[in-house]
Amino acid sequence: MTLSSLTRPETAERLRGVGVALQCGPLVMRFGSSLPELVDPLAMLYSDYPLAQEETLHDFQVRVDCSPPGLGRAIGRARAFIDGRRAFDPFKRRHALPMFEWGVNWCVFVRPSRHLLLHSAVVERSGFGMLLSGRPGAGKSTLTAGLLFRGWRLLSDEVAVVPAGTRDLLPLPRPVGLKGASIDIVRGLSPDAAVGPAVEGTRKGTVAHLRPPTDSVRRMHETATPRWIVFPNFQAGVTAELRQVSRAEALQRLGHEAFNYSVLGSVGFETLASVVENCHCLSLRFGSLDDAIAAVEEITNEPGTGRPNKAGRVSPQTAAGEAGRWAGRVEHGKDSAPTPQAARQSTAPAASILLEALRDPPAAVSLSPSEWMRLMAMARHARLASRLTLLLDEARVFEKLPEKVQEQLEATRPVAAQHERIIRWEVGRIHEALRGIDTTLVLLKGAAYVLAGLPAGHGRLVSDIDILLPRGDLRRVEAALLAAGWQAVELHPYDERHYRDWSHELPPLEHRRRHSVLDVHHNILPVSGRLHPDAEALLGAVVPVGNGLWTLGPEDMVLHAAVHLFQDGDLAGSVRDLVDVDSLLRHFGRVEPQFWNRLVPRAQQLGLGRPLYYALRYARRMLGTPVPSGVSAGTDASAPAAPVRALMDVLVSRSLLPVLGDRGTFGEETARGVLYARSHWLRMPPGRLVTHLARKTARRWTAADDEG
Amino acid sequence: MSSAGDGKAWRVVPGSTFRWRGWDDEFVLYHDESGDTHRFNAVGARALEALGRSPLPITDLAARLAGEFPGAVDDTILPTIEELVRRFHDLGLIEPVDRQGQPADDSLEPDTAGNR
Repeated sequence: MTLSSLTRPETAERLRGVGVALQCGPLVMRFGSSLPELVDPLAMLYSDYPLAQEETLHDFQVRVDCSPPGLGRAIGRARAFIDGRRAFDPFKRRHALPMFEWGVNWCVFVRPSRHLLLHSAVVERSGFGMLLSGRPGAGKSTLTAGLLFRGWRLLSDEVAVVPAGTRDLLPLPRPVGLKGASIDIVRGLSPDAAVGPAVEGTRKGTVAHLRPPTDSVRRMHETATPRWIVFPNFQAGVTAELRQVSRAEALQRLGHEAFNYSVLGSVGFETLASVVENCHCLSLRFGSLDDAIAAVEEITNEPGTGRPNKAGRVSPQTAAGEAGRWAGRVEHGKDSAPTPQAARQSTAPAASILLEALRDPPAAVSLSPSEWMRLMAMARHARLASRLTLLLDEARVFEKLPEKVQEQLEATRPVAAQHERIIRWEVGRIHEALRGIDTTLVLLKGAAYVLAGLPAGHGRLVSDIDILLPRGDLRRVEAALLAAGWQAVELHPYDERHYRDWSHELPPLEHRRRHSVLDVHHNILPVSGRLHPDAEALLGAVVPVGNGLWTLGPEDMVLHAAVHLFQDGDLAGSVRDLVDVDSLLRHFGRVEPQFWNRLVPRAQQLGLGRPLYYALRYARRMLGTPVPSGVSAGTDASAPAAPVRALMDVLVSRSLLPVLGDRGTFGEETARGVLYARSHWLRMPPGRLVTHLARKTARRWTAADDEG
Repeated sequence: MSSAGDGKAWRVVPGSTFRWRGWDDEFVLYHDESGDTHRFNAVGARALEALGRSPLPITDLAARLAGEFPGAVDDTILPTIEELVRRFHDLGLIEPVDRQGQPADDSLEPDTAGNR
């Protein structure tokens, strides 16, 4: 049963309600919208797609609705939601269709996948696939569309899907995105060309979408073997020219533009190398679609060679010698949709499902499909999907989960593993850079958890590396790091001064080649803050983790996690940090005999009783952390007054989790605002805070004037 | 950065896992630890391979490569190899060791080539 079997009112009703779930290759996509003008274009573009059961587990959900509800209809604004979370800035309603398609692209591109995802169109003939890879404007989609009317089958317009460890091309046939002049060119290719409405004035100019051929959709489970890799490059007025590209260069270009090559680690490399090894690799410069199609036909009519037989049109391209390299990180396609902004959102049920799953993983087995989808969305937004996977492993219930959930959770494993590998390696580079300096190199937070082999480091995504050093060593350490390739992130002079005079760390450093970010601390709280833990006391209690590296002692590590969450941030969406606290408490409480006896006295010694009080209170309440009653009672002396405590209970419960939907409730938004103000209040004295905020505001106005 | 005459030797960072693919005269290296992929010509690949076998001073490495690629290298090879070693080091593939084979104080100087 395909979407075309539904009547228009049925399609409209489903889109307004639970959404239309469609099968697309290995994915189940759920679409929804309250905008009536989207019903016909979506029904046309996706008419041949098989309908999945309404209650089926989907891989992702994309909705486009009026924004704000009710008023949006009148003022012509709309918003996109991905898995219930607002994505992108609000946009004009007439752009709803392309924004919808870009939302789907975004999901396909960035969602963790067990498959290698290359930024490339794929067409197939006689079982052999051709990858067409190019930057925006290179003519990739136009050429793809042209080939579809010459007997080629569409596997995908935007992403080549290669299951890891294979060299099969999986189809993911979706509408072909067309821009500008190519819209009319494709419309003119055939009377059968079903092109949707052209939408003007988008960020990519005028855009439209070609409906995938029925046969391509019908054969969406039929794989192909990669045979050719072509890098098209449209240049008006030129004669078509094919040039051979070395396999090494092809691998480099495809890897650089891939969506998840780096996160798959060595499996990604082996998979990509296997694809490249079996392909003829060519670049194609062309000035007209007919020329390009003729050139492609010429290549492919000679199976077994990548060389055209006439006029020597393939010329060798000199390789770049000792050449390029690209950083081990996910590259989002430059032609992809805009990155969804970090949005403010909310849904209590999804939040409670996540907390319940973290508290009691085995209970997740009994979740319904819709509950699973909410849980997965929330876990992804909270950056806890990898952690959830490990907890379900440890609870020995992973195999009992629905297959689609297993697939999605499995896809998080290589991401976490790659993070861990890269953290270890980067720490090694930092250590090497500081080898000539007599200092104590203390790892903090995620890097410390990983290097110390703590459970908190398993499945934890680490975005930067934090280290702690004696303040007296900072100058020499900074010089050594700069000499070894790190460089200061460009900052406004005021921010630079603020870091150096009032913060507890140097301005962030980024490695000029590897782009890894390093934060060098001399304390765990700002100089200007309300609390002043003794850095020397922290450094005096560090523990070795091998190779001349150190971490904070167990109690101090917990205290640092507590102050990071409750003293140095605004708590919004920071449930992951509370999960760190929970994991550290459970681990050290189990393996360190005197841990619980030492924790409270140590907090008092360092003047960190209040953050510890909050950490224990909310870890216990929200995650069920087992804290001995005597320890909890021991922190009571650091508790705030009852009204403040009651207020914090409300604020934390409404802020700590990411929120789904268009925005939080009034209460949630208010709570976040209050906690944001609190975080500034804790960071600097009132006089300095006023000056700081005044300068920041003035800069924003100045910037706005400059832009205006 | 060390210079050719400082007696410092270079070696592949211990524990590194390299995966190579070679086609014609070009080579691609996947570095497991960093997750980075690099492309080299034959000289670059051979140089890294040599440093993976045993630590070598730059002068020894240059002499070895000059012997292996007589047509591709000439008297100007030393600065080229110095730059190559600098790049390997920048990418975290190799590290300096002293005469006893122990990790050396890495007294790198800021890059003066202006091309990074």
